[in-house]
Amino acid sequence: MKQAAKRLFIIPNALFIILLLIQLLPDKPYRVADYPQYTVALALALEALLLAGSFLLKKDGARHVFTDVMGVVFAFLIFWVLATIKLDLPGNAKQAVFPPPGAVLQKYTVDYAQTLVNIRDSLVLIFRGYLIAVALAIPLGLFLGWNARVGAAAGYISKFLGSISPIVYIPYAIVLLPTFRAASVFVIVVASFWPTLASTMSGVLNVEKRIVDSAKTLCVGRLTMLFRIILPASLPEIFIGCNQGLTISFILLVSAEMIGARSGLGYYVNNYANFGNYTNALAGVIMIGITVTAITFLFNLLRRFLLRWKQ
Amino acid sequence: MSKIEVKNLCAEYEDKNGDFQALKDVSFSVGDGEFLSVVGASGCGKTTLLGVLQGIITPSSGSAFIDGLPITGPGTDRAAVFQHYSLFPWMTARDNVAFGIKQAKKGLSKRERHELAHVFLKKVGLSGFGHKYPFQLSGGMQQRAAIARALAMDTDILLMDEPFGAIDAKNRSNMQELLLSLWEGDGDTKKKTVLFVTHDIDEAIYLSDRVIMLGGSPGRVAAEFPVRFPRPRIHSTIRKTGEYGSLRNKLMALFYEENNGLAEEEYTI
Ligand SMILES: Nc1ncnc2c1ncn2[C@@H]1O[C@H](COP(=O)(O)OP(=O)(O)OP(=O)(O)O)[C@@H](O)[C@H]1O
Ligand SMILES: [Mg+2]
Repeated sequence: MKQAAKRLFIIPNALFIILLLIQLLPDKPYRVADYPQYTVALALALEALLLAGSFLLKKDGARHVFTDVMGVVFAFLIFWVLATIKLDLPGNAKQAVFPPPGAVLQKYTVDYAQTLVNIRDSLVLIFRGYLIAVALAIPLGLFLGWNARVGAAAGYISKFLGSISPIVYIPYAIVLLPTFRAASVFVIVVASFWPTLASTMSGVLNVEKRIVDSAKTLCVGRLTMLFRIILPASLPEIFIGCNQGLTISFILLVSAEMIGARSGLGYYVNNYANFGNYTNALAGVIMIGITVTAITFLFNLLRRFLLRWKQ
Repeated sequence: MSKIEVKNLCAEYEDKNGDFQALKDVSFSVGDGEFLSVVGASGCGKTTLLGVLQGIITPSSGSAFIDGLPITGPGTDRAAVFQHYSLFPWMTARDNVAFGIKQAKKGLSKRERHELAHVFLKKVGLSGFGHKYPFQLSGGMQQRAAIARALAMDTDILLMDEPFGAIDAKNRSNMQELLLSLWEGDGDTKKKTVLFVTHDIDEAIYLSDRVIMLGGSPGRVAAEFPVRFPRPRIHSTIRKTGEYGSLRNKLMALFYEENNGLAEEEYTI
């Protein structure tokens, strides 16, 4: 009983109630149609999620992170509603640029098919480019790191090439490659290749000597040494580079799509912004955030699974 | 012919300020099927010596032979238990043992390897722990899993570096019995030659056919003692004999004599 009360009387729940209550405040005169029912629906859905999470998550640490995040989301929604339609702020003159959450949510209900197509188009490019880069960089990094002599030279070269921002390749790639999609994949490959290669090489160099010795005394062959010993031993460090590569890939892809694509999330945002439709543009921005967060979350699950042997 | 032959072996480590000599002119041999213990103070080069025999340290001069052939690298005729736990952290205890089996014994199916791994984990008292990763095991359990891996490989030669150091008295005595029974070879395993490094003089006497004392820095062979108690030995019985007492005293005296200067240097506060 006490336990339940402790999980119920938390700040995020209070913020949920505040979010509902401020809906009752009178709207300021407003040019873009608002749909407060969508804001309320979202608030209810989030609250259901919050309650489920705060009673189902067993570990204290995970539950606290979850409720804290939900609290921030509610606080942000409250701020958003107040700033756009309830309070008389100086920026309200540009209401069309800052639509309220209800208006943005309504776009998803109308536009979800198009949004999903754009998400899919962006993700296909990301995965193609990223998987090619990782599939090339990890074996090459293992080989270069393991053969110290070649590796030392390769280390300097990759530092030089990796320090060039892949953004500079975008115009060249768009001109040189037949399609925009090919150009995007190319840029993503280049962008995620270097950090993955660098972290793999450094991971190999940092493998503990006693692990290598232990494998040597077991007379492992070359391939077994590389893929069953060196690869897992350097995996924690490899993941750092893979994570960097993934982040850079998203940033670059969205930028590239804003420049030259005819589909994808970056295109969606840019296209609507060009037509002055900021409600859709904002919907796209939020969708990018959600997509990246979801991919990062899945990526972390994969990492946790593959590194489950680590303390 | 002796199984292992070490001749005028010198070993050096590269250091920031020149080379550090760890072993100097070490010569001895181990007969086929012999159980030889190596004792000596900390830092006298026991691990270095095993490293040479494992084929992971190249001697600076002199050489080591197995079956008359010079050692040029690691071989599946030898299994090693390292002083510091040498399990692969990303494999479960069972997979670690099975991996060793796979390397040493070709032609077993995956299932047979796993079953054999289970048998040996059971022998070292870890039957319920096969699915655990090394980080989930205590230090002594990790060491026993590493021992299980070496024993399961069923090699001609066992090179063991303080294998029972982290293990409690009761498990330790079980492990000693296990080691002796596998050394002699039961139905499933062959008779082995064992080179066993330990700090425990009683353990060395109880287990070995012969004890070698390394001493000094750089390390060299200070003395060699045959241990003539008939087997099977019973700890409590041989301990009461005068022969045991005099052997033990000789070893202890030599140990202190050899490491007099060393000990004072190290422990001055
Ligand atoms: N990798 C290394 N680099 C430089 N010097 C080393 C290295 N490993 C060992 N030594 C030195 O070589 C000497 C012998 O070391 P070794 O590990 O063989 O001793 P040990 O007899 O096994 O000692 P212990 O009983 O403490 O395990 C020591 O003085 C040590 O400082
Ligand atoms: Mg040692």
